Amino acid sequence: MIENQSNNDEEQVEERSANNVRKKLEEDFGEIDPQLFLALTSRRRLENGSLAFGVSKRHLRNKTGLTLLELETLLEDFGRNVKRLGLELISYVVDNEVWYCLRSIYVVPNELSLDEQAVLGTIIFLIEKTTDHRRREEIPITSTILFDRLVKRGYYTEYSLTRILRTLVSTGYIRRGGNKIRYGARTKIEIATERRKEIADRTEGMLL
Amino acid sequence: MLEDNDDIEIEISISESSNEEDSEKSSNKSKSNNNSDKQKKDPKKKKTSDGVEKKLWSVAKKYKTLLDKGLIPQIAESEEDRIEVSDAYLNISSNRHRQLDARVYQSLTKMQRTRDTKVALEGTTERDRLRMIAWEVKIRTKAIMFMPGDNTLDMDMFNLHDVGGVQIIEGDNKELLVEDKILEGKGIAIMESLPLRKLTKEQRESLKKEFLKKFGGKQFKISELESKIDSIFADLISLLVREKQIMLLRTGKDSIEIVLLHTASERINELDLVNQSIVITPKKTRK
Repeated sequence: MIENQSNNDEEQVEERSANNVRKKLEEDFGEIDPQLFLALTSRRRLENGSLAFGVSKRHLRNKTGLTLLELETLLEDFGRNVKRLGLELISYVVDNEVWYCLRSIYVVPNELSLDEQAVLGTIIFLIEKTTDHRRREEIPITSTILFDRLVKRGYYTEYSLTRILRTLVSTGYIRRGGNKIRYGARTKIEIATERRKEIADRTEGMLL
Repeated sequence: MLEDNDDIEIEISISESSNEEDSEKSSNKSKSNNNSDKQKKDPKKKKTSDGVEKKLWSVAKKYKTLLDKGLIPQIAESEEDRIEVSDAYLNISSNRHRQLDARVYQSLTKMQRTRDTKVALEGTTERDRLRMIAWEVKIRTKAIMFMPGDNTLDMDMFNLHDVGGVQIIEGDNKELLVEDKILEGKGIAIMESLPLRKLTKEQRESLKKEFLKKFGGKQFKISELESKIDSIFADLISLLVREKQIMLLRTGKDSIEIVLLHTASERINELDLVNQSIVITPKKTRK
């Protein structure tokens, strides 16, 4: 009984602080949830050509002037609201900066074509195969390995594979530096670690 | 987020090579053991725990090498290996043996699965295989939610004014300057925080056409015009005036006419015009 009472108290305090943050922001900016939703679902291309999706914590704090605690309260509250729409609030880190975006709770069609998904699947297979799962870091693969697999064995021409890789880079699924291919932030967000392992297991032996 | 993992690669390769050395040693042992086993070839051979370990090691090593190289042995050969280790569990004496036993069975299962896949895929085309891989990716993707469109502009978050909200501020019979008192507190601060729009030539032309069709040659009350134009049209008015395509004529106490210069130049010449500045600024609806 006492525990229940204290839980209720905590919930009420949390609700009150979320409402306070909301009121404070609404005075300055108007209705906050629609603007937050638009910001979290936006994407733009950065100067280095990579795709940024959602909004960074720094940007949010600069714009709203909220403290870290207030911002977290607001986002937690927002996260609960969007869950009803089949979405979840995700945070990810790029270049030591925290970003937020919205992801679907369920598996839904992605924006890649069949060929792009097949090449992404092959890259996942090759990276997972070389990665030591006792360590957390992924080991990048070289473009040569991928071209050997897909071009030399006749699945794609060099031109079409290059074009597909360019699309995967521009949509944020992979990152290329020199001769190396790594996962992009989007692959890590959209396909969880255990799912990537599953893909690697299931695609084993599918390519000649 | 993704660092260059060269150092880690090196560490891993060292640890792998040391493992390989270990396993090579053990495989050497197992090979010698195998040889001795073959020499003896006695079905009632002595199954000590050491012998079991060597047998398990040799099979585990064999299948690791085969799986790494992507080689698939004949079913009969795998079956022989399975029979060889099938009664190893009778002599297991430690956890280490148990783990090794599990590892061997996992390798045998994995090899069988790979063999099955290979058999199942016989006769399929390259396109079929690619489709299967794409399917594996497709059914596991929880997509990030995006608003449609891909652009190069930063989201001007929390400065999303209602697009209809502009106000027209009139000056006296002189140019209005940013420092003018009449503008103070009315819109300069908001104007400065507006995002910079980058439009392509085609987008500009289509917006211009749309604007001229809607407003060209028409007369409006100031309050009516304020409610009809948004900040994009306000920018366009400024642009079209600069390009000498339109002129805004004050035709009454409270009305403005948007005149197309190329169609009404004669009429304009007949009129006695006085130059006056107006500023159209975004109206912040909530503060």
